[in-house]
Amino acid sequence: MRISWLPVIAGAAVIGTVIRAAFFTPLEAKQGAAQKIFYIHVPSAWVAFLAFGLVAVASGVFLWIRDQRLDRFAESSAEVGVVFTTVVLITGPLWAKPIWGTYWAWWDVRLVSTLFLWFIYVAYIVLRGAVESPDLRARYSAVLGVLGALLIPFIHLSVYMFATMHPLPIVGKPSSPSLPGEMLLTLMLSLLSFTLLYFAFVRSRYHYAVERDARAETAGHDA
Amino acid sequence: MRSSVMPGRKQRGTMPETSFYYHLAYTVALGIYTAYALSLYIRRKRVRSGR
Repeated sequence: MRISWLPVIAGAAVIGTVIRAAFFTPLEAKQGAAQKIFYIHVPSAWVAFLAFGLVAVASGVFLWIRDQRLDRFAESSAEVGVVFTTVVLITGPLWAKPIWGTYWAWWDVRLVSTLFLWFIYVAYIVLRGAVESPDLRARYSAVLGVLGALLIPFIHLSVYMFATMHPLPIVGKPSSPSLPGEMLLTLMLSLLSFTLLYFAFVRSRYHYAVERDARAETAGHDA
Repeated sequence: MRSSVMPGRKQRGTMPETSFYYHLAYTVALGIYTAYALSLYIRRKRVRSGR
């Protein structure tokens, strides 16, 4: 049996990161243990943005050269992006409750725009399931894939543009990171391991799409 | 500005008890990733076996 090493390495990296975050990273003085949610919340958000950004790139190029592989990649990356955004939308409120005193604030643009991004890519998946013609499905979803990603820079900059409870970025900013060395290292390791997990998921999801399409084609020829 | 972070110091008693939310967040997040990995495995297995 052929072993695929990427999921094994990604899984081990994520487990290692969680162990480091739980047992070998100091507690934050004011927030206590809840601050450690940071090490899964931020990397999940980074991967979600990466996933949807790559959906937009693949979709844009697909609309130009019409290569099915790009459509399959966009489909895979969108689904994985939705999974990571789901984690962001659950871990964020669980961090907010003990620190802000509330799970959610509907007036907060960062929170609501992230939820909106999640809805757009859930709609992307629903759209793909609703259109039967493969050509139309690929074209419609490519347009939505490109448009949806326009929200990403808005979400990132929303904390600078609007009043918000959400903290400003502490690493993704022009100046140097405002985080002690041990915590910064844990964050960097978690960003790396979650990115590996993203590629492992997308690779597996892409192979599934290839096998599914090959089977559908065979069934079409047999009919 | 001084950071509020004090590496290596466990300030038991002065820190808010927030470990419930921390454990819940990690459990849910890792549960979602594991469930998704399983769903990919099952879907690929099904499509290969023709179901």
